Amino acid sequence: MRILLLLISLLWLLAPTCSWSYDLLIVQSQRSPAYDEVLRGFHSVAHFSARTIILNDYNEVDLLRIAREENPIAIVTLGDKALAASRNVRNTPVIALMALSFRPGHTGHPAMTGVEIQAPPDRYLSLFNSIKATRAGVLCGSAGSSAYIRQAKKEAPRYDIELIKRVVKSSRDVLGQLESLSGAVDVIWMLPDAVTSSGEAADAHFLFSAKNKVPVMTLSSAYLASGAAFALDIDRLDIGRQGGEMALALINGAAISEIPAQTPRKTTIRSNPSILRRFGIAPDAASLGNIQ
Amino acid sequence: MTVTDRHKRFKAGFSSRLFLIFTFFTGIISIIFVFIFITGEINSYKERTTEKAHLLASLLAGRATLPLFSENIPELERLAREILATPAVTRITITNHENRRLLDIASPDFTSKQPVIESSVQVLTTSSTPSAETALLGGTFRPTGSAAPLGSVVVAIDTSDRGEAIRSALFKTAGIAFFFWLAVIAACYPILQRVTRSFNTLIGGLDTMMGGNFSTKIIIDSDDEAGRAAQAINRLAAALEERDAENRNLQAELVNAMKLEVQQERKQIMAKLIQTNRMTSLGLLISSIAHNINTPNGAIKLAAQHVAASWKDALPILEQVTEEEGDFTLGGLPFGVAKIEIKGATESILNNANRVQRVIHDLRTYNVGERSELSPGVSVNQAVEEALTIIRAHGRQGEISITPTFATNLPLITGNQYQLEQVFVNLLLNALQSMTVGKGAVTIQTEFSPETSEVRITVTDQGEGIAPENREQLFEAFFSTKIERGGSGLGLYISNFIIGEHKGRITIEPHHLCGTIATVHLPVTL
Repeated sequence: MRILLLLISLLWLLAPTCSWSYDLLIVQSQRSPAYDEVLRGFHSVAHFSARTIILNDYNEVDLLRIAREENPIAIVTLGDKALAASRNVRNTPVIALMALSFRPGHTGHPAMTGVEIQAPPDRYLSLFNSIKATRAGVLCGSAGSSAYIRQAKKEAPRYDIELIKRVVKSSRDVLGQLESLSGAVDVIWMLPDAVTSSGEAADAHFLFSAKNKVPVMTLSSAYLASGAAFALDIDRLDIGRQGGEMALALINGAAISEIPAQTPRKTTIRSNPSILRRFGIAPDAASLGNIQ
Repeated sequence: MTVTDRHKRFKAGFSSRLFLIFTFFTGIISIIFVFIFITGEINSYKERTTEKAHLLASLLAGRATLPLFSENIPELERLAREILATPAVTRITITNHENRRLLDIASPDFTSKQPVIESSVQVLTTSSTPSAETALLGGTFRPTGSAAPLGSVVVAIDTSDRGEAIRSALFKTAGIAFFFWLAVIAACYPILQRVTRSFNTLIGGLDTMMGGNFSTKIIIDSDDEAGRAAQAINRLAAALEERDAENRNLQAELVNAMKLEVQQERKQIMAKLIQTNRMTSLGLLISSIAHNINTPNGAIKLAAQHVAASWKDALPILEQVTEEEGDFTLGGLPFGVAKIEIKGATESILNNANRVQRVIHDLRTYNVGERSELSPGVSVNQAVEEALTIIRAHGRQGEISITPTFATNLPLITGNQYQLEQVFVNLLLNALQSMTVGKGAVTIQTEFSPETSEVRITVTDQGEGIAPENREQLFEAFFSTKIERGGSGLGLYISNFIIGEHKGRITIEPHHLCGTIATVHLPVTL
């Protein structure tokens, strides 16, 4: 009897330790097939011990307390909401995936890395070359996208492209700033950031495109149906793999500072043939092949 | 025919009534149609105007999404003026998401008193274009906050022309309805004339038949309901004509039969009248006889009394002569015998004279039938005895025995003794007459029933009885089965009347062996 009581007490004491022992805390903004695809890629790298929290399932989640009590090796965030929630967890490394607001160097977190959502600027610039555009207009609404545009501007001359930037302070300025680009650009590069990411801002881009017969380049093929001419789609499975590789490195003992942020390795160019035909655009197939 | 007559005939005519009713109801239906149409037109005008305002507001809201988003007032004004150019649009108001009025423009002729219909449409951000975050997730997710309104658009449409539009619609509809009504009644009259022609023919034929002329045939010129009715009426008229002829024949036969019956009845009545007259003559005869008998009878009685008184005076003298001179003969008899015989003879003369007087008195009393008043203290037994006296005096008893049985404790009743005697005489005579062979026995019995407090007088005979078919008519006047034997048919009728006056009743039943039992029930007190 004494032995039985001893066993029960031991189990009671060890049970919490056994149930919450994991390496990674995966924080997901919401349930989405796109995030599931990313996670499939993530788990294809290694068999991670992880706990997943979906923020939209709860009214409020105290990630700071969870991280302090459960002490995971790293937090993997999927989406902007998850990224914003993880910024307070200062002592745990964060791997940011699928977040528009994630820009290396502008994370505001001491131990954050991840995969950017935007493809490297040279891929867009190459695409502009393929349609023989020399003047590209872009709206800039946040510090993150400013850095990206600065990088793009730096590379633009190499592609004989003049990048014309307009700064917007709020989404209500989008229409006006776009109007200022009328006749001055051959293509509009729609960069998503905190200011220009709304549906109305996107609508303003496509309205400008229709009025001025200027094609719009976007980051998702979801915009093709709304009026975009081209989309540089990211490969979500591969982004998951990139994140998985980062997590594996952290588990294996690498320091977060040794793991730099990455851009998407694989992208796919998609276009809307109707819009191309209407605008009389015939992309150079060879150039397109190089981009992919 | 005067105009008034024609008017009356027109109003009373079937086709005219149909025409008037049809005209009236067509007019009512036309008015209702106009009313319904105008009501619908008013509602439709309101719906159309509201719909137009909503449509224009929706159109403007669709166009103004981006200008409103960027609060581009000049662009908003340009778009609003395009809509304002639409006829009847008088005012356009655009507000932003904070409900701040960005634009309020009106047509030049707009006044605040103008009646308008307004439609407000919210400008929403729910465009088909996804946000960047949604696009990254494949465009399948749409954040819940994406339907936040950017503002609203209000379009006002002038409705001051509504009255004019409704008046115009009213005139048009009323005009159409009026011409429709005129066309209907113009077509209706000849149609009704044509349709009711067979009916009019039928009515004309019926009018002729109503005058009693069933030989007239209605002309059948159609196979409709009226034509079929005319056929039926023709057949009915033929049948009626036939029945009429039969009725006339039957009536003639009936009249002949009634004449014959009346003649026979007249004969019977005459026979009864003759009998009654004979009875009356008999009464007069009896009165005459009574008078002629009473006079000599009175002389006889007086003479007998005188003889008796004389004999009474002469007897002591004659007895003294006998003592002195010895017996002598008187009227061929020795004095000793003769004095007894003479005394008996005088007494006999007086007794018989009294008897004659009484019989004559009774006959007169019976014949005169006087004294119909009812009085107490009447002895039923005495009335029966008197009746028996009359019957015996009647002399028609023959070999039939009459056996009276009198109750000793019979109470006196309230009544008329002479009338009761007449009743009992009638019953006894009926009993005697029923025994046609002239032999048999008749009993008459009196008794008192304490239970019902009535006196019963029962007359039983051994006669031929009463046929069942005659029992219902026994108490009817002038009903008799012995008319040919001198019966008057009044005996039981009068007896029943008399007993009814005494609050009693007469029952006549067949005897269980043979003959009849007649019972008179008389209450002791009325």
